[in-house]
Amino acid sequence: MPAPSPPDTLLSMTFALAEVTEVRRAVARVAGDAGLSEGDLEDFVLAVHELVTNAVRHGGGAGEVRLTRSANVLTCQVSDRGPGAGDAVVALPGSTVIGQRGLWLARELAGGLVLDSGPDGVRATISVTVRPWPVGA
Amino acid sequence: MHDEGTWQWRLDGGVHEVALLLSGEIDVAGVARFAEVLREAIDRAPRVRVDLARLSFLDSTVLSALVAAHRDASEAGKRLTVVNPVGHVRRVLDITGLLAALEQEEDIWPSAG
Repeated sequence: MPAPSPPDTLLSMTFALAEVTEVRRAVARVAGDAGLSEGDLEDFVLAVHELVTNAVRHGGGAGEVRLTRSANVLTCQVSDRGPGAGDAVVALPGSTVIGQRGLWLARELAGGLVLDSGPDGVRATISVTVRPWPVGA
Repeated sequence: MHDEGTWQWRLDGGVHEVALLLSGEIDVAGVARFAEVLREAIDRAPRVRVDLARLSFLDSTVLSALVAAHRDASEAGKRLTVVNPVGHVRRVLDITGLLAALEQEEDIWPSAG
């Protein structure tokens, strides 16, 4: 069996509040090129956007987003250098609660969320399945 | 329409009811201004309809602004509802349980408008 090839980096950007919209558009373009479309694409784009927003608001105001692809898995990792997520509970709040929906949305829309939190910041990772590369590509 | 960069808005209506018409994409970068516009709408009339028909994107911070405005209107004896969410905006409101809370049926009393 051949060794799996290392993931391809499709996008790598740093951001602060002013770049959030630009990052979202870049993610939409790259994820669309990778084969996501319509509702799946919109779900993924919002999930990534919520991780980016979380970094801006709670992770020291800035961060880095990386999109990689390995076979038919598209992975997005958003990292910040904030104080860490502590014991943040990712749960859907009631309809009168202001806030606390961002990470829940990311997890829900991506079908999972890995939060790696430490004193040097948070690394949040989501993955979705995309169509395989065309044969011979 | 007032142009806020990635999103646009217009307030229509009179002293009894206003419609806040939105278009474009509102995210964390625009939410502070959006909250101001919501306050302006609530100040203007006792009933506010936030029309999302042409809004193509919102995020969790915008959901929070809508929940806060809905609460502020209620506390002032007023009423704010969202109407016409479509596509992904509707999906996000739906899965967060906010569609039912913010998109209510017509008043049981006739509009004075």
